[in-house]
Amino acid sequence: MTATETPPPALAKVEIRFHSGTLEIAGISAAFVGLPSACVWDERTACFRAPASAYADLVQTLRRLKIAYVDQARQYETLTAGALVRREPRPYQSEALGAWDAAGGRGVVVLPTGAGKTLVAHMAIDLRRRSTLVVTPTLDLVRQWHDGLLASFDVPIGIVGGGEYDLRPLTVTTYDSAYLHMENLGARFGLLVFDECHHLPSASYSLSARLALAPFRLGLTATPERDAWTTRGFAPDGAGGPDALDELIGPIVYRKDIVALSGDYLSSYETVRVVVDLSPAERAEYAAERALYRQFLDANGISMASPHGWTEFIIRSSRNAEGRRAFEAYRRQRAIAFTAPAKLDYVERLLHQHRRDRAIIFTQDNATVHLVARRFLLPAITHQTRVSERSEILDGLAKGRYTAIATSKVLNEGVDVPEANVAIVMSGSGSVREHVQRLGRILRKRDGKQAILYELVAGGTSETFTSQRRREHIAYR
Amino acid sequence: MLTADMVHVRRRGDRLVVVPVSDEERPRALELATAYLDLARGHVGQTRGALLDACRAVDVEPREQRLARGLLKLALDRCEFEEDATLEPVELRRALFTSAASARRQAEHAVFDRAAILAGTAAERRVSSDAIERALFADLADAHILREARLLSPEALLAEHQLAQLQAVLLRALSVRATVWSAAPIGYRHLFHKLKFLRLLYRIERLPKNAGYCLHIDGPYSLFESVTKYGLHLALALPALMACDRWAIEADLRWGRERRPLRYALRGPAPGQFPDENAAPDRKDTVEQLPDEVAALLQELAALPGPWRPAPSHAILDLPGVGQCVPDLEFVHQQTGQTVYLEVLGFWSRDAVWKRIELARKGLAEAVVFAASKHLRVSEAALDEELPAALYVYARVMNAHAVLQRVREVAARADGPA
Repeated sequence: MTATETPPPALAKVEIRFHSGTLEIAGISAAFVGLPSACVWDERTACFRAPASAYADLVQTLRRLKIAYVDQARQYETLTAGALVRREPRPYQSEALGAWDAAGGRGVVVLPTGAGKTLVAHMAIDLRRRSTLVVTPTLDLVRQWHDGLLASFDVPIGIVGGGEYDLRPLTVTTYDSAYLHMENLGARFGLLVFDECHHLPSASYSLSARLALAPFRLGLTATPERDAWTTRGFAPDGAGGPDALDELIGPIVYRKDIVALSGDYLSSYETVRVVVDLSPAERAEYAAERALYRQFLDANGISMASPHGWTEFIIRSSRNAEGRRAFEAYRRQRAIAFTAPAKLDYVERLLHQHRRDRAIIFTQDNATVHLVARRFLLPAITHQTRVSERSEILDGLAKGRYTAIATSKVLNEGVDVPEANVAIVMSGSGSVREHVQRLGRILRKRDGKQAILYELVAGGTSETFTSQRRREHIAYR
Repeated sequence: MLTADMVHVRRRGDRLVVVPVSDEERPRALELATAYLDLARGHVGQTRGALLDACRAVDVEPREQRLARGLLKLALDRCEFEEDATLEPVELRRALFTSAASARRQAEHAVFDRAAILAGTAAERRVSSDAIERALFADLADAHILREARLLSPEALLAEHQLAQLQAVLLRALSVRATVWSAAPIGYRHLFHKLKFLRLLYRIERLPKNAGYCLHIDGPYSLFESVTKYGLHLALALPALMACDRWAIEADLRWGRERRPLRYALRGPAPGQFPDENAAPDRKDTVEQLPDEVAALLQELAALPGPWRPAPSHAILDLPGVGQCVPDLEFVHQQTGQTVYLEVLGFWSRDAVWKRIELARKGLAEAVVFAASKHLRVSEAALDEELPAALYVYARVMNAHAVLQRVREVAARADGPA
């Protein structure tokens, strides 16, 4: 037995407690050096302390050193029953689960949107049978996971977020709520499922993974690389690099891309790019406003391609009347491109053409969503739409009560309406991820389904360039 | 509370300084405060969007933008908005959009008669099409109706803004080093209660010459990584720190988008009035701040003969990981210098008494007598006799002789002469 493995001079019984996202290890004196490196002596409370995520390592170490301990930290349950309804997995779903299990129940599964990542998570919960917290980016996904888990496990499913705080052995929450509440929730779950886990490495969200003691972790994503890393080479908001997922969840244990599964497991699809022309008057106004905006950028040496270009523009444009006019010009030229009458007329045509289909209209901002909703009398989903109304709208689209809905970015990810077969992208960012995710919304496989994505671009505007940027993905080639 | 981007700050080397509204700027700041308060008063019954539009129309010079946004935020924080429930928007949307989808599905030509669909839904509800248009998204925040504005005077709003600026900087704090001195124990008790409530952790050091304490405050996870996660809690703790008779704080910040490391310092009672940190406080002032029952007890004790001299205490007795107590009085033996403390728990709660018992059992180094009312239903025998602590349970008022007797007993157990 080495010096470091000598049983510690016990002050009292050794006790592990969960405290605000950390573990307090009481009853071991400061001089002991055999604990994992994550454990640090804390003078404030006269005990060792570790991030909650070190729980599994700590417990294994105490067992190896044959140190008896009382575990007051672990508050998660072993589920008494598994899934009541088990869908037959596709081969790649079984492979993904096997790879995750072989990695000790920690790792990331990369599958394209519509390929059934959710089922992999249900199978993982069924396999490990631990209290599970599913973390998703949006409230729409919270509702969708809630309904899916309820159907599979037939037990009440908890929700934390969107004004609700109902904790259950199977609970769904958002990344924002996880960040706010993990200090309290971190001991309650043995398995964490991070849906769309490419969000996790941001500075704040990653903290929620570290404040949880769950030994088992599953990440799901179609696009593990963050846009910022892949297109600009920098990490936003102090985030770690792509390797951060490895530390927070585990390594990528399984990966299949969209082309490998298209046709067999996803709907066949086509993408149509429609260039609409501005009227001469609109074109003149667009050119004038854009010139004003560009002149301001040039005069102030602002590059919108740089990481801080937008912030710089906001700050400088608020300083004087010229700046405020430049900001107004920026908004106006955008509005002309986003909501050109010719574009709205084309949407009208598409709505008629697809009046017996199920369409989702995507826009870049909420103002356009409400404009479209008012003009065409369509349901709108934005971040302000309450969860119950979102459910009603999505259910209405699935059942055919509505033939089309309008949304901005909140439906970009994960929301599952298998019946949806038409996507109309009225406006969007240059993000490859956003465009792939929007396409993914209509790819859920159904018999005989042929999906189609229309991308409307105002010709001769900056949208042309934006469109080129976002189509830089294998799915659009 | 303001958000960090609403605070007017200046960098001086590695320090961040809040720029208060100057005497020259004050009349204009009051003008802005008056404008926003008047607009809020005048928009009761109207929508948030209308109020915000009116507020945006207030002429604000570029250099006043931040101040204006801050004053507006604080004024809006005092406003209560509510959804207009004349026509229930969610139900209205469901009916209207279902009807529109049905009409569109049945249309053989690309003609969508929007007006007819609106008119049909309006007729069912016996309202006009315009009313339907207005109610359609009445639940959006901008459409909410201002029901009540609990507004301050412009002067009070400006004062609130000054304080809110000092507080909002801490939203970006990693940790706070606070120096505090409180004449009466209640100041410390309030502070520790607040820190505990906010689940902040601290290290505590006693300053020389009875000049107070230094607290290093942050959160549990701060041990591993410098995070601003506890910034909101640190900001919320500021009023409790400021409630101490003398205080000073120094915070480590990560400021701005670049998360630039900066330091931030404040001191009270007011800038420039903080007395010499090493100077002992005035004893006369401290007696005046004692609760009545403790002041009366002190007077009686002072009249009793013997070597134990009583005085108001400014000590914090801390046992890391277990808790702390803040005594009201301390007794110093004139020959030996031995000190025994008295904390009056009075009618607080049984829980408070049990926490003090745990503190003594787990190794509190100092000798303490805890005085509790018999209404709390605790027995003096709850504390083991070998510990340097005692419980004194009293009926109506504390008896000076009985207290002194407990002091002697505890001193003897603590291995000193009685």
